[in-house]
Amino acid sequence: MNILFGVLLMLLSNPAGITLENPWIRPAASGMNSAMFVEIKNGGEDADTLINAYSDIAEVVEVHETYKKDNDMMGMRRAEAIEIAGNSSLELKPRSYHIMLIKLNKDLKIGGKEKVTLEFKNAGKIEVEAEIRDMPMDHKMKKHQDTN
Amino acid sequence: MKMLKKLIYFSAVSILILHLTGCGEPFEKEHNYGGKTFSLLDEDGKAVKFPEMTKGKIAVVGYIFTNCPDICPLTTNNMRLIRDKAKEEGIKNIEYVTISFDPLVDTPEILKKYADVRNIDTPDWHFLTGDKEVIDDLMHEAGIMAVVGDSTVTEANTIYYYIHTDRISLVDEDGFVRKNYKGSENNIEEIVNDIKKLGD
Repeated sequence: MNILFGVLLMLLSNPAGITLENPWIRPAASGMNSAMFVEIKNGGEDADTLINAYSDIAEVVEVHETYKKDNDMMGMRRAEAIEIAGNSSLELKPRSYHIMLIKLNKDLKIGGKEKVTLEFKNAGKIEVEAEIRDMPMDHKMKKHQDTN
Repeated sequence: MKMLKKLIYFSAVSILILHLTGCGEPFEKEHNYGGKTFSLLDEDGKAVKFPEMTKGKIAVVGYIFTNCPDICPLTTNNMRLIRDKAKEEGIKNIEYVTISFDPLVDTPEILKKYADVRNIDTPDWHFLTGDKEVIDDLMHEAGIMAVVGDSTVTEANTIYYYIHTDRISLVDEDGFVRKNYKGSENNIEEIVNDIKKLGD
């Protein structure tokens, strides 16, 4: 009964079919900045837009974008909103879009887990628990496979 | 017979030219930081001289600022992967150096925390900062550009984000930069092979 209620609640709170997969956060010290990365999947027919992000672990949380300037120059800027088309996915990943965690109020050490909430125009707020690690899971798995 | 003589002559001339121009070496010498010595501080606040501190060893040098959430952590992690791979292959005599181009924020204490939270042990890896003038001069000689771009205003202060050169440098035993790579996106195997070639 509880499971059924949980599934019903999830469907009602996320009618647009947005799901968040493989979230992870870079390690960083208290007082400094970090970034969260995640795969956003939109299983609905309609487009949705990531409009905001929240977390208790940082003073300011914003959606940011890393960009290439000239030759080997790299910069970063705030991204106002990111649209995810219907039946498609978008990966917030290194050297691209990320959730910027500014002025952390605690150390984020490798192996820990922290909660971050993303807010979408249609799907509303969705919370994820992200593992703290140095690199995405596929890189980690590839390295593990290479050494076996 | 005439043809053979010509072949021997051209081979000898080619070898002489290669020898004189140093083209037989794996990489050209890019620069030696203007031949200057930079007085800096490491993550423990100890005074060090760069690049003197790595002379006699091959050095892998990265350039970062600690408020950077994406490119600079990638650079640091790639240096860790280079170190892991070099250790796996039994390559010794390498030093790792990370230099901040944001010395007003990146004090030795901040750099120490940056290393600690990533579980980076520092006997062979040095995180350096220093006076702004000295750091600016070093970055100029290294060809590293770092200009303030966007910023975020918090309750206590304004955090600046740099638009900066994305780089790791391979420095030889005499303090000459021999090859540059992207810091955030590179081929670890290629860099470790280059270290081997330099060490030969």
